[in-house]
Amino acid sequence: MCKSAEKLIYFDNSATTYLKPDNVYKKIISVMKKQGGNAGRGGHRLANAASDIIFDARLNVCSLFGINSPSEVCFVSNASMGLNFAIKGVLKNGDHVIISPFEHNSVLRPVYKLSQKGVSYTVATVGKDGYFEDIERFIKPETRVIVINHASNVTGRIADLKKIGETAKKHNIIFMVDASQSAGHVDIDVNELGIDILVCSGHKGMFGPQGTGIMYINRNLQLDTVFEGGSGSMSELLSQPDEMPDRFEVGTQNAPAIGALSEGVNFLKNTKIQNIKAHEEMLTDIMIKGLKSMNNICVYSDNLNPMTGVVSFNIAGKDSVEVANALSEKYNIMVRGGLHCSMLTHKTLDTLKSGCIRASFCCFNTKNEVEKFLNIIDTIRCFDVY
Amino acid sequence: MDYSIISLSSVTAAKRVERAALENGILCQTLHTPKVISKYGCSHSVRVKKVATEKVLLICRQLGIQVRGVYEEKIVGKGKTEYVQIG
Repeated sequence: MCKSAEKLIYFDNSATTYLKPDNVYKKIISVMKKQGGNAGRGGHRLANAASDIIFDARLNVCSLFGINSPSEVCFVSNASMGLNFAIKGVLKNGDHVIISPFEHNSVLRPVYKLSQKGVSYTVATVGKDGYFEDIERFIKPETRVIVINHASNVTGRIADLKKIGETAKKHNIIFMVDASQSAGHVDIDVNELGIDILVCSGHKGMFGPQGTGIMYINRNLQLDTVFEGGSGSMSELLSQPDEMPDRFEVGTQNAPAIGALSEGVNFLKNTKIQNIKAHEEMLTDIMIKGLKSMNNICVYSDNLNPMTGVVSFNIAGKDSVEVANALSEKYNIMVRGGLHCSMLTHKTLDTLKSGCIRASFCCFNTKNEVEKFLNIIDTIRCFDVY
Repeated sequence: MDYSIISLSSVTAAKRVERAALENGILCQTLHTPKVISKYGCSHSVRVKKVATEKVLLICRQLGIQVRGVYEEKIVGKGKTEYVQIG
């Protein structure tokens, strides 16, 4: 129970967005009450209505990410699931994969698992500018995939996807992007950026409910399956259907949540991502300047380069988890401390032992909230109170 | 009125055809493919007026959607329907 009567400040949007547009909440209830059949299973009116909800969501996701066909969009339970499907579906014994030094464990762990079964991997190294070096020099004849975290969940750093996409195309390598931290914050067009596989969460910047994720697979790719089961189609066959999206949408789809995710997409389209980006950049700028003006604070995010609204830092001599806990208990401010399921990034930043405090924004946060947060951090820093 | 059933595979394929047909002013309805004409188990189809069959098949081709069979729907008695394969 929070001891503070202060208004809640939610700065943990990289974990999940807490406030959603009203229509997101409304849609879950309305789908459950009015369209609550099982999509693609049977053909009665309610099953068909649920199929329409999911199909409309596919079209909406297509228009947001410049995807050509709704059959290329699969709904998954979260980004980790999508990344497992994609990584394990593409890579075979003897293949090589390049990953960035900022990958979340949702990429690193499946890749590591495969490395025990004959797949090799290279973590691209970081140059002086904090960006990973030219990806081309890590390519081997057996390189099959490049997996890149579009925006770091620890620093907010945005990768130059266009450049990497061009390199991947030049070498006929599959280009896979984890957009969990960028979707909804930054414009993404899969064709423009040369992305073959895009995976993202639905419950972060996309404003859908938890338990939603999106996986785009270019129609020219044929991936192996990780899960098999009911698809509502080709039921007499022992093997999973080849046809997308049934190949990867195993079991009953979460139509209420997918419908709500689609409302999140509608919100992004109506608000316009460039406006969201500008607002989050304004908040990030205030936060970074404010933190950098204080002694004994180390800031790991750098807004001199393109980034999302994620600011990570530490207060000298203080445990990042204890500070985050205190901010919650005493000040009603939600941030995350410790490691952020991203061991590689912490190794790169040399924060594996300390972890860090992460404040992450969405378009519903305000300048006043950031200023209040900075005052509280200054108090904690100066007076050792928490 | 005579109808055709164009048998497809997934519900997504059927919805894609249905929406494209409706956008072209062609009445079209997704349905769970009747078991007697559904190859390899469950699938979804679209039901269209027989006169619009060729136009909808063209839409399928344009969308790159594989057609598993085309059937003429014939009401042969009270509550009894027959499906005659025409493509």
